[in-house]
Amino acid sequence: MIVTRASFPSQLLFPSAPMSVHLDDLRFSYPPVTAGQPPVEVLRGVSLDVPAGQALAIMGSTGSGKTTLALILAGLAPAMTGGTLAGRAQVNDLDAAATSAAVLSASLGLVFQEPERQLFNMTVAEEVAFGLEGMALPPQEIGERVAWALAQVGLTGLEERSPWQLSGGQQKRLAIATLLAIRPPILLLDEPMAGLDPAARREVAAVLDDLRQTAGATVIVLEKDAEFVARWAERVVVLAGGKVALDGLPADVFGQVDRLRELGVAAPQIAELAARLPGAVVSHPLLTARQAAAALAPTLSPESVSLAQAVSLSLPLSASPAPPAVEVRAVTFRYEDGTLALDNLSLLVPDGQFLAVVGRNGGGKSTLARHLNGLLRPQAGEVAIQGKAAAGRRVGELAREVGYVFQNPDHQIFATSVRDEVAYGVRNLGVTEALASQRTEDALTVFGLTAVAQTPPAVLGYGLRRLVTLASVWAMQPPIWVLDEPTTGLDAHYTATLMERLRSLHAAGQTILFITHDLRLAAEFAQRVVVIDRGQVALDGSPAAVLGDQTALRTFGLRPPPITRLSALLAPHGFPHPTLTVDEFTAAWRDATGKDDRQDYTIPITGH
Amino acid sequence: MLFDLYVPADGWLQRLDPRTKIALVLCGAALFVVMNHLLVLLSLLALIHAMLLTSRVPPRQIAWVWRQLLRVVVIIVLIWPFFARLPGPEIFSLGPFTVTWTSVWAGLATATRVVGMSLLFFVILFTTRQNELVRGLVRLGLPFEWGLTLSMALRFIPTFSRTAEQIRDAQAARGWQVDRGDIRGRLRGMTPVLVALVIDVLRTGDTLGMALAVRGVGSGRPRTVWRDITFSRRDWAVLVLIALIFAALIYLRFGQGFGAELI
Repeated sequence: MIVTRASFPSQLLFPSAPMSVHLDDLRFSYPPVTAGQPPVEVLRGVSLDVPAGQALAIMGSTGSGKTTLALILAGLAPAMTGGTLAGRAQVNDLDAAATSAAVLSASLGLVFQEPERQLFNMTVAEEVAFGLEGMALPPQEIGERVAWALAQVGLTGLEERSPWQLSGGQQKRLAIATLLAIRPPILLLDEPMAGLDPAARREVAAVLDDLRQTAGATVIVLEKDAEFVARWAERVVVLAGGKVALDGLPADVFGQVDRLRELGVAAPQIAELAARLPGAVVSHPLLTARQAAAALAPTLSPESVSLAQAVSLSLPLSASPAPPAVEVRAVTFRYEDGTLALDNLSLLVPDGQFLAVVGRNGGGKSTLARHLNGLLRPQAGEVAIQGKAAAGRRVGELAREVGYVFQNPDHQIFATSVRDEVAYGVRNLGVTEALASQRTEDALTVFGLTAVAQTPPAVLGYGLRRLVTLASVWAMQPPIWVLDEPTTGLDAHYTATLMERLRSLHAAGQTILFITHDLRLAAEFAQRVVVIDRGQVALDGSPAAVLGDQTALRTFGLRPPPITRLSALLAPHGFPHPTLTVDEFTAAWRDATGKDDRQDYTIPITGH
Repeated sequence: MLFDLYVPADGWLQRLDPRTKIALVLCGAALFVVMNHLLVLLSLLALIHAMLLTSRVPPRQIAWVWRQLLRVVVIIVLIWPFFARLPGPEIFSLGPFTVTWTSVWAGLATATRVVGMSLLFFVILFTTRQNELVRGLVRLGLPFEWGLTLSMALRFIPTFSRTAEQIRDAQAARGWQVDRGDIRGRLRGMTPVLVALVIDVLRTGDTLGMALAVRGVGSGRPRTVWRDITFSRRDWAVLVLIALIFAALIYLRFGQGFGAELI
C-alpha cells in the first residue's frame, strides 16, 4: 500500500522541558500474587535521563521491568496496578507518581502493545477524536487534528471504518495516531512491532522514522526487534533484573553480543556476525548488511571466486518409507464474507520434514494450518494426514496425529495449575491415567516447568505461558506438529528455548510445520521454506533457494535475513551466495579469505 | 449482520436525530399497548414496515427480524387460543379447553404486538449509528460514563465473540468436546472455554481502563463533542407530526373508544 504522510509541524507540539524523563533510583514492586508471599520486585533502582528530542529504545527480556517502567511514566502504576514505588520518576518536570494519568497524558502519550484492547470507538475518526474531546478542544480544531494525525500515520481515507476491521498494522498506526493527536512532547510505545508481519512492520517503522525527525519530539520505544532498533534508535538502554545493564549508542550496545545473549536480548544478525568473524578486529561495530558489505568487500580478493563453494539449492529427498505426513490436494476455501483464503492449494509434506511456512498476513497461512487438524474443512480438494483422509474425522480424533500450537497461548490456558493444564490434552486422548500422568510429568521436565507445576498458568509470564501450551501438546505425543507463529511475543531467550525443543522433536523423527514472520528462524531451523500468498504456494524450496531469491521474496512482501542480504551484496566479489546463518557465513568467509583463525587481521573500515 | 445492525443508507429515518426516533419508538410502543383492535394493531405493524422500506432498509433485513421472531409468533398463535378462554363463538372443545374465535383473534393480536414492538426497536437499530444512539441517550440525560460503558459494551461484543471462537478452536485441538451428559455435565464441559474467555475479558478490561486513562478520562474536566447530533427543523417537524398523531389516537381511544375492542 502507498502510505502518504503529512509533514510534522513542530510548532504544534507542546513545549517540552529540557529533560523529558528523569529517573532517579526508581524502585517498584507489585503486591504478591498469593497473600503471605513477599512483594514482587520489578525495578531495583533505575536511574536514567532522557533529553528532549531523543529517539530512545529500551530493550530487555521478559520480566526485565520494561512495561512496568512504561506504566509508571504514564501515571498508571501504582495508581491502577497496585504496588509500591520508591525513588523518583519525573516526566516533563511532573512527578509521575503524584500526578494522575489523565493529567500526565498531556505530557506523555503511551501506546499499548495490543491494539485490540486500546481501540474502543466505533469509527477510526472518533477513535482519534476521543482524547481531544477530553481536552475540551473546540470541534473545529478536533476535526483539524484528526485529519492531521490520520495523515501522519497514513490512514487518511479510512475515517469511517471500524477500528476492529483494520489490519494489524493499521490498528497499530491508529493507536499511534490517537496519542499523536493529543500532541504530547513525549511518545512512549510498548512493542510497536509485536505481532506484525514484515510489511506492517515497515509501515509502522516509516511512521516512527517520521516522528524521530520531528523537532523536539521525544520518542521512546520498548522493543524486541533488534534490526529495527539498530536502524532507528539514537540510543539503546538494556534493562535486566530491574536495573540498567547497558546504555549507549546502538553500535556500542549491539557490539556486546555475548553480554546481550546473557541478558536474553536479541542483537542484530550483522552485529552477531561482526563478533564472530575469525580473529577480526572490528574497530567499528557493524549493524546493517550495507555497512558490513562496505567493510568486508575490500578484503575479498578476486581469486576467492574460485574458493566459493556451490550452495545446494535442492530440497533434501525424503528417505522415509512412511506415507507423507501431510498431503493437501487442490484445496479451496472461502470464508463466509467471501474472502478466498485458499485457492486450489496443494502441498506435500514428507514424514519427518521441518518446514517453515511464511508469507504476509491474510495470505492463507493460518487457514491452511487449520485444515490440517480439521478445524476447517476444504470446500474443494482433500487433506490427508499420514496417508489417511482427514474428511469425516473429528478434530479431537485428528489431535492424536496433529498437535496444534495456537498463536495466542491465552486462548487455551484455563486450568488452575500448570500440571492440570499440561495434562488436559493427553487425558482427552483416552489413554490410561497412569500413562497420562507419566507423559505429563515428562512434558513438565522437558519444558523446565516442574518448579511451577502447582502455579496457576494464567499468572505466569508470557514466555512460560507459551511453554505451558507447548508442553500440553508435547504430552499428547503427536507425530506431526503445526505451530502458528509460536515465537510471537517471546524474547530472545524463550525463542531460543522453543526452537531448540522443536529441533529435538525433529531429530526424534517428528514432522514440524511452523508458521513464522521471522525469516531468520526459517533460515536457521527449517529444511524447506514455503511462501503462501493469495491462497497459493508462491515459492517452495530449500531455505537457500527461497531466501536467496531476494527479488521473488520482495514480490510477496518479504525480505531475506540480513546475513543473506549481506552475502548477496558480496556476491559480485566472489562470495558464496546465499548464506543463511552466521555460522555458514563465518565458515564461507574463512574459505574465501583463506585466513586462519589464529591470524589476526583488521577489517578495513570505509567511512561508514 | 449480527453485531452492527445499522444500515448505511441515505433514508429519511437515518437523517433524523436519534432523540426524535426515541420519541417515535416510545409513542409507537404506547399505541401497541393501549390499542386492542386487531385491525388497528395490524395497521400499526404495516405502518412500521412502510417506514422501514421508505428509509431504504432492505426487505432482507426486515425478513431477518421476522425469522428471529418466527418461533415465538408460532407458539403464541397456537397456544394462546387454548388459554385465553374468551367468550365468543366456539370453534371446538378439547378436554378442558374450549377454543373460541375471539381467543384466536386475541392470539393474533398478541403476536402482532410482539412483532410490532420488536420491529420498533429495530427501527432505531437499523437506522442509527451506535455512537449516535449513545450520544442521543447522553443528551437525554444519561451520564457520560454510562454512555461510554454502553458504547464500549456494544463495541466489544464482536471482539469477545471472535475470541470465544478462537478459544473453542484451541480447546478442540486438544480433544475438547461438549456433546456428553446432561445440562450440568455440559456446563462443566464448557469450563475450558469459559475460564479462558473470562481471563481474556479481565485482561482486556485492565488494558482498556488504562487506555482510557492515558486518553484523559478521569481528569474531571468538562468534555467537548466533536461531531454532535443536531436537532434540525426536520426533526421538529417530525416530532410535531408524531405528537399530533399520537394525541389524536389517544383521544380517539380513550375519548371515543376507538380500537378499544378486540374485534
